[in-house]
Amino acid sequence: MIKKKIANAVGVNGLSRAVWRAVMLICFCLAALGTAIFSLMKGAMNIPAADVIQAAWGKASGVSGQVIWNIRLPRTLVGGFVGMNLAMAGAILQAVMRNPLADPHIIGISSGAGLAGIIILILFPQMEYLVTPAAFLGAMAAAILVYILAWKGGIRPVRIILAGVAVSAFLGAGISALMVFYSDRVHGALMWMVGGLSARSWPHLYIILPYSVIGGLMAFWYAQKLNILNLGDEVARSLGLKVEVTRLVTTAIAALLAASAVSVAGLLGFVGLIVPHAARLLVGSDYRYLLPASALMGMGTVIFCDTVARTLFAPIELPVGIIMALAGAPFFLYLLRREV
Amino acid sequence: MMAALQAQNIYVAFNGKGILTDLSFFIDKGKITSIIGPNGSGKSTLLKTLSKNLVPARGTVYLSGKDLRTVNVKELAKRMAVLFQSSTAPSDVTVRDLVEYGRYPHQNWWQGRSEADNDIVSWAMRQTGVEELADRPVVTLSGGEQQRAWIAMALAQQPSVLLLDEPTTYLDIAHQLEIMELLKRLNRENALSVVMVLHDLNHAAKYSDYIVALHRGKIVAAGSPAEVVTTDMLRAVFAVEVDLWHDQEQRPVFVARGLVTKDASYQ
Repeated sequence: MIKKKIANAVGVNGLSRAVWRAVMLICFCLAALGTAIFSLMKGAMNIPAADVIQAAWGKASGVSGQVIWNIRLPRTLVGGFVGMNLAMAGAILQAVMRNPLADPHIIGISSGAGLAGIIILILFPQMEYLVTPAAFLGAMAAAILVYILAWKGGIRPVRIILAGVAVSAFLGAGISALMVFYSDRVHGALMWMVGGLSARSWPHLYIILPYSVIGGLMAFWYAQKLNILNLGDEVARSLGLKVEVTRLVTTAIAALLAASAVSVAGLLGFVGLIVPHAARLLVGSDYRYLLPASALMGMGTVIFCDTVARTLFAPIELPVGIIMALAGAPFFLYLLRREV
Repeated sequence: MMAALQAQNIYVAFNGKGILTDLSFFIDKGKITSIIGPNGSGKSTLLKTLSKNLVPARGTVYLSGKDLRTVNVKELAKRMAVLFQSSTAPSDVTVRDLVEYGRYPHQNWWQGRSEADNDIVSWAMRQTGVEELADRPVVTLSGGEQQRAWIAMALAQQPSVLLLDEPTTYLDIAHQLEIMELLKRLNRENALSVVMVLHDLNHAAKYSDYIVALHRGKIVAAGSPAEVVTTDMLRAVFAVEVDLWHDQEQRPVFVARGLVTKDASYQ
């Protein structure tokens, strides 16, 4: 049944495909909204949906209003934008590299943010407030380094992937070395490496929001160019696309989106890899639909997983990265066995 | 008459080794031109140079008299379409999607697809006989159908020149002829200049107005099929002995008899 629907989505009849895509996007919208409301309801204190909606508009008072406005709403929003940014970055990179395994790790973003964050957390723990900007700078620096190493009269996807693996391994060695030398201070760093949203609040939202808005708009702007790029370099060029420039700009957009996400939430894996695949399965590979679908699905996924992570073993909170990997890895295997 | 495409002393090298050495030629408007030559003679490199996928180290390519270096990629895509071998579309791209991408060079980000674009897309699909396949994903089609879909995309660009790299590779004989007849019809009816690299020399002789033979990065023969496809050329360039005769249109037809023994081919 589902397979038939998917077959419909990806061909057969032009009109039904357009309808299907629109319906899917509306479903993703509702799902993202639904998980957000669910996330606002659940926690140490369960709050009814009606109060949640009131509170989200800033109208509720009392304890539940306080809990929602000061704790759950900002955390949910941060989670949503982290998910959106990582999923969009992954979707963009999969087109730019023409490689289904591309995700934000591949351009060195995670290892760059990781090393910078770890340096602050382990060597300068009194300056913890610098973790976010340092991680952002680390991520961008690593992405630029990968780009420079991959440059040889132009950019080829294979060279980017190889340079990305090399840079990641190199920076990873730095991370491991720090953790071994300062094994007594590893705890905080470990939480950050796994990726989590605990204690994320309004200031974090203000950090990620501009990148989400600007990066998101720029990504949509480039949607049709990504479609053309997906036909291969030679075809894209003969259709009048500036292939090198497009690849450079879209990689930079992906780097900004992903770097802003990891700088507030740590090294959250799998969202950038799996969500675009799942979205592609449902709406097809046209980036004008795939980008919004990935964004909404990424939002819903991270918000939902974070809600599970903080309520499953309450009062103990799991980092959302663990839930993501637990749920993501089997799903990823399922996708692989289905497609390859 | 101005040339559709003209190369003047172009020189292309890889790692210091000259692939095309001081090549000059002239392709008339509205003709079918085939580029032939053995493997490694520089045919594909020449096609890449003519389509601005490669920039020659020296020399100039002119498109309708204009230096290719001064034509930006989008402008070029409106005048010249290029089909390479083994292009693949993502698995859910339909024929109509693909042909619509052919309108990309004519569109701007602030205006979507216009009525005129839709008309041209329908026209291109009609010309290549892929209308019935419009909603099928390209990858599910047979080799010949796929090739026609790609040609439809190229037509949607409304180019005056169409370059093709071995458009009949991997096709059976009937589909090879189908593609060649299609190109001939497009050439006659739309005054489209067709330039293609061909491996099948009999096809080249049968369908071309003009043939350019490449050998080791140099043009060794150029002219009408009867002038170029001769026993001497085939012996010297391809190192084969052939039985050759001419059909009613005075076009050469040949059957290979065997390889030339070493000392007979010129080095």
